[in-house]
Amino acid sequence: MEFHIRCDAEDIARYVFTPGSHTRAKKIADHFEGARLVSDSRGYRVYTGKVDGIPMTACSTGIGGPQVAMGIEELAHMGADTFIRVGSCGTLQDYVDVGDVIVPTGTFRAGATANRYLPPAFPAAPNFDVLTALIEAANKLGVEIHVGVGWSGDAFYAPPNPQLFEKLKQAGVLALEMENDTLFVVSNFRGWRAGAILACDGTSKEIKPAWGEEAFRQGEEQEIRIAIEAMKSIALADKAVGQ
Amino acid sequence: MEFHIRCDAKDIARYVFTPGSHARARKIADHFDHAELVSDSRGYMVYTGTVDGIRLTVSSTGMGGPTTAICLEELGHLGADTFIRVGSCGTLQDYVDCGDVIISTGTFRAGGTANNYLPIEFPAVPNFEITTALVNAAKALGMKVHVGLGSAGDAFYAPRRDPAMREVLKQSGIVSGEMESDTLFVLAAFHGWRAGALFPSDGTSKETKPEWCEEAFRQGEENAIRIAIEAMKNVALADGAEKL
Repeated sequence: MEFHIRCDAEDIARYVFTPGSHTRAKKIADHFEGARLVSDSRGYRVYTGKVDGIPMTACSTGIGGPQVAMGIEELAHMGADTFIRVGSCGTLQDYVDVGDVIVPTGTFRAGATANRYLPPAFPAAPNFDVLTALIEAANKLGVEIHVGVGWSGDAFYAPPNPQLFEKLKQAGVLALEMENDTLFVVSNFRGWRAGAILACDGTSKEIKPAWGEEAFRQGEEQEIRIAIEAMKSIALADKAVGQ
Repeated sequence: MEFHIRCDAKDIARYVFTPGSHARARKIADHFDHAELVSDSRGYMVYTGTVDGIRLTVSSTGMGGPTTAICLEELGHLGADTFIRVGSCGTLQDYVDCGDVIISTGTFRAGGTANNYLPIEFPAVPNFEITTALVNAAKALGMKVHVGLGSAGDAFYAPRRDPAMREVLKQSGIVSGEMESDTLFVLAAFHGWRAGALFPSDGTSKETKPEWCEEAFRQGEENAIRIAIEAMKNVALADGAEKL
């Protein structure tokens, strides 16, 4: 039994979705066949079920690097090695609308947790197979997405650095959120596969506006469908090569 | 006329290969129809020609970040916006053989030049479209490649200050070691260009550039050039590039 996620290896699948939000974990599990709540401790709400017969788990990580790192480490102790973060984000780019779906190809390491694993010079990049599976799944489902670099930080309410953000906007940074840096770096360090997909809940001008709620929920449902489709194709490819 | 690459915008294509080596620039140009040497100054050997009617340029960058950054900036001034580095590399991984081709999905920023553009926390990652084009081109040509992260540094002969770090990077899946892709990826992001990179390995995890590897490396180099040209052609066609 792990220290924080209170269940056994038999309760955890190899393929795990790691949203930040508890309610999104439940929404993902609603797409599973026979989903059961296998742990609900310290904010890690963990559901396991099947999709087309493939065992899958959804585990909320909460907000920020420290909880993400502990969550994925304990999930891996129990046999997980493939992670898709299904998150929400803000954006720096004027062309991104509320509810748009973004797949990050890397992330700016503004968070500190990952530095305990690998120095900031190490690229916070997703696994290429997972990244490709997400983009192919979006194409297959006919959902238009943005693909590009993101930014992950530790302090939602800390005063921003406008000069840096202007530069990052020019450098094409799309998504702003708080967990991908940790997920990508720890996964590379441990030899796991990880990718992420994000639904935007704001615009470059407004943070989480109330008028954007409905469009965001639509985007959230789309990112869940894309993530599940992608995970299915990864699992089928693993089976084909006999892993 | 730029300060170092001595030619005009009309001499440079939008699509540019950027090997480090002058000799490799020539080898790439040998695959063009009607390649023309458009500049030979400060170590930048620049050829422009066509492949299947698509206009392509190749420019050697020389070794390391400073000469690579100047090269990319001046090519950018002259209208280039899509870059594929066809480099050579060493490797940290025991499963990589001499002559194996590695397609980069991101680079550890051990070099200093890119820090003048974006802070160290910015991920040195290639453009997804270019990387996918490289991976698909390798498949189409029936060539096996490794796809993964690399490390790029400034000082080939400097003493290794931290041998433990090499072990950590190996464990973290770093496949290739070379000296230019950090600068390429970060500058490309900064300017909104597209960039990707691939490298044949000229050594093993045990030996740096062993002589016995030369023939396998040359074969890998030829494979990498063919993959890069096929990928660039497909990127240009997807852009709707005009055929001459």
